[in-house]
Amino acid sequence: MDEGLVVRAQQGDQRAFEALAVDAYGRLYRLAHGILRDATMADDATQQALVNIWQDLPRLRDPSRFEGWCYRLLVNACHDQTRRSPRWISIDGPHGHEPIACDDAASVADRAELEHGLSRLSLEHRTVLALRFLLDLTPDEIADALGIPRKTVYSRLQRALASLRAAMDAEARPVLSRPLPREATR
Amino acid sequence: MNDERLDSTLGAFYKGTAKAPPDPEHGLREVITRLPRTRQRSRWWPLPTLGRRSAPDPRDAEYQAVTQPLVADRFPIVTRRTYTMFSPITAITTAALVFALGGLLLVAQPFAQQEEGAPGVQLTAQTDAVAVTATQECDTSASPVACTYTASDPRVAGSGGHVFVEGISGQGHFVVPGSEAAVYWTDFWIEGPEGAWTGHSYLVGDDAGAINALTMLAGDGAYEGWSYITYGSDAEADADHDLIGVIYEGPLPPVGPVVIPGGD
Repeated sequence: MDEGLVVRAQQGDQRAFEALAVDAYGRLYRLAHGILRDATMADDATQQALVNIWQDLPRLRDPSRFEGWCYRLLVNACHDQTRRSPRWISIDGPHGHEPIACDDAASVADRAELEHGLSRLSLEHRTVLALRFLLDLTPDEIADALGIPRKTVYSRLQRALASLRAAMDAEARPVLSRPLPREATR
Repeated sequence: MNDERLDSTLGAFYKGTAKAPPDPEHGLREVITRLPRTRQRSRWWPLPTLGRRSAPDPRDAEYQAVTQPLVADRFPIVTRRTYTMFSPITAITTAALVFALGGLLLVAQPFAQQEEGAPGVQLTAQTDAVAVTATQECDTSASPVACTYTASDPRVAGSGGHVFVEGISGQGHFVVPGSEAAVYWTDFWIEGPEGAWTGHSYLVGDDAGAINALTMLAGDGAYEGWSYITYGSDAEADADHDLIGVIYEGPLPPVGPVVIPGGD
């Protein structure tokens, strides 16, 4: 990432911003798709995030933090997308038939379970998982990107994994996951 | 699926399902056509920032070491750009905090010297029930989560921790889909100075991400026959929060089947 381009874009140079946008578009889209699990919404969120980045760029104090700052604005754009479309559970679907470039550890069954589990998580949990496992960011980098304390990142990651595992278990044991009838507790 | 397998599976899953944008040229065109209509917001602080600058790129020629020839057997005076490690904003903020804390301690001193108010003072006469205020500070990166407890009653001050329980009655945690609202439970323990407290913590996460935890612990060692019930609300969900509670001589509240008088 060229800090000179960021500084020029901050001063209103559209050409410089276009160069930054070309460089960042694919990366931002992949993160948006990792969070939203929906191609159309990810595209809309990426475009909106880039416009917001242009709009707020003069407020970025330290150009070297441009990348993490972009992630934060993208996450906000993903939030806006979900507010506009409350029913945002993946249309890419848990049972897609695209070839998967996963190793043996991620079997097709695991993939379907994960897609289902992720679709039941909150956006905050999806976000922190995507930053950690898709972009391989460290907890410090995630904290910087989301503007939250590092301990909150650890806590949120732990809760996201617990929720994901619970959702996957609930899928595997649908009968047990239902509340017991009142009579049974007497 | 254990933790390590879930981590590796998630990594492979995310990377395997990562998608390139379907039509990046079109997306970029959309963005670029919107730029002229989008006015950039100016910085709210009109002056240059006083914070410490980020370190320069060491590959930048301007910051490379240079060899200067001696002039009349002396090193010449070289004027180059330098960076200060000193940030005026950091220094001013730190000084303000130090003075504020000093003032606070001066004001608070008479209260701290009153009778049994100081933390850590051994209570001389135990009553049947004692109110407790405490704080919990945890290292959530540890597994199990490692915590330190400071408390108004020394019996429940010390180290401890908790671990999320899975598989109670064959079920895990209950999570409201698409929300942070959830029910969790943990195994919970505190190592007091003369015995341990063990039990369970029951946590309800609300939609705003805060966690409210009721913890019920039974004592052993010197605290055999005593119970400690405590409650805390953790808005940040980072496991650091204040607790209120009661220590009393008696069993834990009952759990299990309910018998309603006059019921079926």
